[in-house]
Amino acid sequence: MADLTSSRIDHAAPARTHSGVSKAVLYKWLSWIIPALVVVLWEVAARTGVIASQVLPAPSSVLGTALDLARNGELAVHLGVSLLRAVAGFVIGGSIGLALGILVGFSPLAQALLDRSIQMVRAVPFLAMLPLVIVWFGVGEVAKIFLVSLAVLFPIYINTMLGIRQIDPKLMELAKVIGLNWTAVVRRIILPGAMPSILTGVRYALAHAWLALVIAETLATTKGIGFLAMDAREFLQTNVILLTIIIYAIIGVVADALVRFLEVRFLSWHANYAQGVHK
Amino acid sequence: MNASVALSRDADIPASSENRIGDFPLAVSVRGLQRRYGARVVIDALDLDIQKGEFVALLGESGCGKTTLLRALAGLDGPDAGQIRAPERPSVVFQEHRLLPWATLWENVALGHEATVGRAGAAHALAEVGLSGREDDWPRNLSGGQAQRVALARALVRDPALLLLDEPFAALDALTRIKMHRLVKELVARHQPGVLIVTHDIGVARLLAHRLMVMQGGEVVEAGLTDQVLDDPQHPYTQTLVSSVLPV
Amino acid sequence: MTTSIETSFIDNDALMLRAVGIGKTFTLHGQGGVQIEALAGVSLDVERGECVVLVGPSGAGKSTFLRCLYGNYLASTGAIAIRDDAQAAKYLPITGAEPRDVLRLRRGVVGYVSQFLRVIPRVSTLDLVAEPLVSRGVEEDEARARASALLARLNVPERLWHLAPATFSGGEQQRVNIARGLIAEHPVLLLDEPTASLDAENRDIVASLIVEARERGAAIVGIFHDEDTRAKVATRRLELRPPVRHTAALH
Repeated sequence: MADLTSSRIDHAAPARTHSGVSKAVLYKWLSWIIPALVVVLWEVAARTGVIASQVLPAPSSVLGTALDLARNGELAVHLGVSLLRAVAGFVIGGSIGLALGILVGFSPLAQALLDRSIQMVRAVPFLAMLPLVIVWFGVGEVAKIFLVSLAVLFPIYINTMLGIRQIDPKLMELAKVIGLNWTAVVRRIILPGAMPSILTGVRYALAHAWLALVIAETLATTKGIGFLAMDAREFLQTNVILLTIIIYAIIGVVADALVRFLEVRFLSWHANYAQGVHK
Repeated sequence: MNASVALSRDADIPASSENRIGDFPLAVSVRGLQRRYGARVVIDALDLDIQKGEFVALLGESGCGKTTLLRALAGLDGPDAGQIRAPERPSVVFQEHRLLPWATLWENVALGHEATVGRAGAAHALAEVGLSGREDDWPRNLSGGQAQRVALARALVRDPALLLLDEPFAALDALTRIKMHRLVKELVARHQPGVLIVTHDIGVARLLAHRLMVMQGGEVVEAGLTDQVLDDPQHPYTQTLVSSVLPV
Repeated sequence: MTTSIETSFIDNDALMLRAVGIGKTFTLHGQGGVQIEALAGVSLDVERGECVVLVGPSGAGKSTFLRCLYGNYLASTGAIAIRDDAQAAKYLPITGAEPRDVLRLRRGVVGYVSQFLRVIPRVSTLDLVAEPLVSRGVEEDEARARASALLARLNVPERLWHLAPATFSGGEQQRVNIARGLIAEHPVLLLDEPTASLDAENRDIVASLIVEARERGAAIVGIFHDEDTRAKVATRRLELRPPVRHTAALH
């Protein structure tokens, strides 16, 4: 019948460039080229005056500022204070969220009593809360930590509750037949089973916590990254402003990496998170 | 209504003279069991004895109460009336494997008995079901038949007095099912628990069971030697059941 | 013929099987409750070293009688007793016995060769034949060796030994069946047309095996469809006639 006029080339082996480097590695290097190129162009543009240094300082200038602040200890102080507020808020909000989530997850009665109220509070927009928080707690540390805790509480609460709810009842039956005691049931079945959901909650909580912190640090304060940013604004120190933004970005990336690490640690058994499949 | 419910669960039924039939100790004993769902009586006045080493098949259509009976014996649902004397921890193999996806195979097998069974005991049990060397593997890497074998290993690992099987092969393909039949036969011959299998598959009963009980509407309508009940059924329902299946 | 069993097995050491007044009526509920009387009032004593051949026309209930003796069918009337040294009275009444005891007897005392090979799929011929020995505690290797010898004697080609018998010819399947039934050398043997699908040569071999069993002291009850074999193996014949009041033949 029809002649085979062209032949297909099958790509069975991993594609390799002429020099023998695998495609995956090549693409990884490629992904850094654009940012690197941008930084170089930016530096050149700033140095040659194409961009006014007030508008967008050169990367080298930002780096210089960072080193200065690091050297005189200021960077460490502000960073430390911000992180402390974030961690405190995370721990407090996270614990309460976890506890409430577990309680409501297990007890339909608790759910009936508590869930609706919690959802109502959650629905209130954050910025609307701000004035109220100031009235209650003033503008001190407590207010800031309170805001962060609130931001953390809701994602953790919801995801914990959901995680517990969707545990396979057949596994609970199995536990009953095997005769596992309460702690064993929690340790071996409930916690691992709810973990994917809980870690999702942690991810959201970290994002919300940081957002809350940025807002909280607009309140009167003499320390913290937010203060640093506001202070820089007062004195038009654009490079400091840029630095704080970059710091925020880095912390966001680190937080995400942290969660990824936790996922690998606790969820390697899950098909979606498995590192390769072996049969 | 006289509802006396006595559910005694010991580690095993104590070996005394009233707990034996002939030379063989009882694995489970039931008298006058009743189970209700709301107002509907699902099982009524059921008596049952199974000795250690005895393999009993419970045959019947869906809804006849056989799974309800098994669950009552397993301690999953309490009796509404009657007495059950059963081991505290019967071993159960369900239709689904019910392995913990976040635990390795050996952890699954040793679940609840880590102290007594340990990794070595679990590895031995896995070898018995033909999965030696895979103690550290994960349930997600197993086929349906393999996962069910791990469930079997888990059930047998601590040499139970009573083994309950709830249609354990129903979800497997025909070829795997045949292999599983033979595996169960070997394991039971070796460990000698009392066994109750709930099934709607006559072939399984014929192959594995010493004794057959036919259930209809929550009642045992016929019981006896397996091949006698299947080849010479007395009860109308048994006759219908048997004749509706192609002869093996 | 006495109608009680009581001390017969104690008094008579050679008595292996006693059936008294056996009747069997099938009630077919699915067909309006029609009743078919297959047996009426059959009695039989069998001693060690005897081979009783059941004779009679088709429909006389010969096969039914054998299956009642084995406990495969539930006798409607009468009593069946088989020697069982584990009991005080030295016999087990098959009718109404605990399934567990009947199974014990089947493992150690009563062998049965049916007309049809009904086995587990995908098990090799050798393992099938060795299984009755293995389940009595014989070492696997020895069991397989004895199974091989018996299969060879029955002219089952060696190349078939590791295959499952599902694809064998009728004659081959029957010989595997016979091997499985005879290998454990039961003291009581019930044989239901074991030579039906065999050619003359193989029939002779089977007949010799039966005679050997008989001379070993087995008590045998059998149905054989050809006169030659009957003449060779029988020490006695029992004639069965179809019960007078029956509505349809049931063999």
